[in-house]
Amino acid sequence: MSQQEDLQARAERILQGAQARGLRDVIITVARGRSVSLRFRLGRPEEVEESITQSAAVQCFDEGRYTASSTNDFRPEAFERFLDNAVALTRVMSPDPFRHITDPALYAGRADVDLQLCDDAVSACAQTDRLALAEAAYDAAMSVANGDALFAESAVQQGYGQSWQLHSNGFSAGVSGTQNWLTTQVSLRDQNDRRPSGYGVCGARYWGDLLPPSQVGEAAVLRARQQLDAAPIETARLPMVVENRVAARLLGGVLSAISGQALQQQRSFLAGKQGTVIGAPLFHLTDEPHIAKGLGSRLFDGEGISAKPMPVVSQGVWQNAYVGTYYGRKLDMPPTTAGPSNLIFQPGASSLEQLIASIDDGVLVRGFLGGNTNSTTGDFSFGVYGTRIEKGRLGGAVSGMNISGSFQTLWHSLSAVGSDPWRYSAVQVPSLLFSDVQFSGN
Amino acid sequence: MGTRRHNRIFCSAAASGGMAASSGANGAGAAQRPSALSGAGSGAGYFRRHFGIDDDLLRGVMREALSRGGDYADLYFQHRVSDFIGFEDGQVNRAAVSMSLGCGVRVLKGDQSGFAFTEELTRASLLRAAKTAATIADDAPTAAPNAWRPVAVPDLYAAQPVWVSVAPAEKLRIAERVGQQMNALDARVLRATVQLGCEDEAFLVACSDGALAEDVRPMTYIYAGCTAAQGARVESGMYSRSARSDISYYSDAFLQHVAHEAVQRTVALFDARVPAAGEMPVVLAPASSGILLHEAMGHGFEADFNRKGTSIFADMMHQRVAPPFVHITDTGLLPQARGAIHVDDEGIPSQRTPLVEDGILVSYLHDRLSARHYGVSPTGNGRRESFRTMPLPRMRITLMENGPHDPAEIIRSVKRGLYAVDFSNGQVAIGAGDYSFYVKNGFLIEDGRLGAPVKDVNLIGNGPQTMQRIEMVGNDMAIDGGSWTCGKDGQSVPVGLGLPTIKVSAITVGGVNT
Repeated sequence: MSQQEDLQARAERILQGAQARGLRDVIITVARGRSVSLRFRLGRPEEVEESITQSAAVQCFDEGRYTASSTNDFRPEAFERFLDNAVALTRVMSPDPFRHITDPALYAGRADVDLQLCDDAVSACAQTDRLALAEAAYDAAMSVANGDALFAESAVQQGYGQSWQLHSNGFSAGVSGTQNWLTTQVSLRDQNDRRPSGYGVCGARYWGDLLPPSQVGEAAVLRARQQLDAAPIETARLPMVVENRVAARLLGGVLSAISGQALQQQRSFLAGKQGTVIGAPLFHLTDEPHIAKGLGSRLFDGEGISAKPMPVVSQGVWQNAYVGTYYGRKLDMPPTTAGPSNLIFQPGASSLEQLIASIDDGVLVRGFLGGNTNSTTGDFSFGVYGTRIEKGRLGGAVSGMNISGSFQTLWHSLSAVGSDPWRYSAVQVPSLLFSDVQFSGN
Repeated sequence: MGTRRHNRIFCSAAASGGMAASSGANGAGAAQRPSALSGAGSGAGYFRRHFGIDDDLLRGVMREALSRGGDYADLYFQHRVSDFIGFEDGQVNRAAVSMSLGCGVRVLKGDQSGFAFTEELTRASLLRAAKTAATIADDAPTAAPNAWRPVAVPDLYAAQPVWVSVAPAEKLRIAERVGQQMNALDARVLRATVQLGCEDEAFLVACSDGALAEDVRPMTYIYAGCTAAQGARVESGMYSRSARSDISYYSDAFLQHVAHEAVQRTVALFDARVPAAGEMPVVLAPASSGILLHEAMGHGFEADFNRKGTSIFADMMHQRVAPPFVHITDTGLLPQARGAIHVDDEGIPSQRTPLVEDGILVSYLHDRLSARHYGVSPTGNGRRESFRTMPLPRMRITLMENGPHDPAEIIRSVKRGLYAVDFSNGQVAIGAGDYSFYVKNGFLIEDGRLGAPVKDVNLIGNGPQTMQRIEMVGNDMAIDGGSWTCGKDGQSVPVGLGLPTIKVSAITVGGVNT
């Protein structure tokens, strides 16, 4: 029996157990994974970790009553008790007329494509391979830092996960996936005795798709150097370029407002605005679940809904919300999917350098520090750091600044989009230029 | 409260439950010293009774962990049962239970760490994990202890499972009552949501120096979220409370208080606006303003960052970091507090650890690894999220002791500034020392008096600079009872905060200039 068949058999046994307790509608998800990691510092492995995990999750539906329970304790008596408790808990819930198992019609239309989520090379990797990669990134960082590094560390993580999802009304499918991550962190010291850090990072489904380790190590040093002697500048309204690596943070304010729950619970500043303009024409965002090797790729979601490409914002017009079956019924909207797969921001034609060159006086934001968004009103306020832009060129390092405003207006001031989407994430956003942003500093 | 981010490899087991980030202000209570130490291991025997983990098995696994010459090892067994009840749209219509069981084996060789965990507590699985962790060393075997030395612990909370025996219907009624009260309190309330979380966490840690600690840590939280409308304006607010307590925590009066605060904090936002942007004097209200300590200083005092030279405080030990009337403490010893622990996750008894005395930095927060590096005793701050992770130096309840100033005098001393009351989250860059935290509710200060209410504004500053800019410290220290959770290196642990009213001469306020 293959490992996937083994998981499927386990899911079927659990389903039978739940149904034997009188439940008709049940969703079972069983999973298994292996994770290994290594951190390298001071010329040797500092931490090595290895683990194997397994779990089972049971969603119970009983005439509108609903619970979701999970366990990793598969001792027979303990698991029977777990099922007893899950069913007993379900029975005391209030019946909710909107809560049902997924309509089987939503299982239809699953794409017949190979998403290439699983790299066989991952399980073949030995500790020596991870060590060599981490060491190469570390050595590159130390070499470029040229004796200035106060601290340097590289880490390699690999994971292999499998799961099987089984619904009592006919859905049954499994997923396998691998991930590989290489990170390097470097700290330097500046004239003010601050110790800014820089990170190099890349992640990929396939071991062979990771960036060359020298590139990751060198990026960490470069980014730390970019923050040497950073200080706040004066309070002003300025144009802002947000670097591709961190630009996804600004999408969060919109995404939190277009979830089914936020809309139904009236915690969305975009309530009632679907189909209307919420940003500049350059604001163009799609959900793309079928990207080969994509970190967020999937054929179906956690409710079994077949994944389909979905325009989210097209030329500034909000097209679709993230709505699962439950909030879809409450809102009387057809369900799409409860959350993003791969979110792709349509790139523009300008390089980051061209975006910078177009600004007379502004700030290149390279990172965020804290802050939050009020999804009900659209207000946001974030800490930022980066580099001053003066007459189209990069100036001194900036830190200790806030940007504030409202997502009701921010996306309207999007005036240019870079050609450089950040590839190492399920949310791929290029560098973005906003024409008018409130910075607070000195 | 994030610090360093680490990408986590995951596999897709459907998670259940969950809690929102937290907050709240003006929780009652002040620091108290613990009662006398009670007997050994208050959760004694839990893993022997339920899982057959006996002394002989522990010795065998420890021998395997030390089989390649590690100079320290620990075995960390954990059994956690948590549940969640949710109220939305007038009814309790969702719940979740999560059970987690396993053992992490860690081996140290110098400052190198080997780690593996297993989710099966069989002898074979435990030995396999120990063998994997042991590979960090490559030497002759180290002797394992022949006998275990139980660690004596204080008596701050029940130290036994208190939630597993409570009928689901009782928990359901708590969430229902708060939700219904919120709906009845104000006609402007559109939506009331309530989440009730309850947890019993048992653990046993056996260390190669012979220490053996067992404990059961109960935990509960209640979160009340409110959305209200006044005319065309819609606002959302929340209130949460948390404690290591049992069902007696949820008295009728307390539930009314939770409902009232959630609604009041929301409707107060109708009159609030975003303040002007720029640097200005900031007065921090008591209790939840302790997030300033947590972000601006506390993380920088965690010894792993200093051991590696990445903290801005790495060269400041025994130096002045604040005015002489500033005293900062991290303690795990407040009865029933969310951040309280009897013993840390490395078998070191909890304690009260002075960090800044008379403005002088006197100690970092240590786990065993950093204490060994610095040649000092561990401070009981070695904490981990679960058996799946290695311990790190972490805060417990971080507070500033009372100072010499009258809170009213502090407000009167400000010509134009901000009075920050309630917070939702924060973050710090350890090396640069820059921190930020998000103000959910506050007031402008105009000519020494509280003025218009403000909301949704981020404050940002530099930790060492802000410490030096503390001009006044009030005599009204209060511990916040909110459900604060701190994230570091991908691990979340419950923590506490406390602060008297303080005045900082200048912090950058992220408002909007019109």
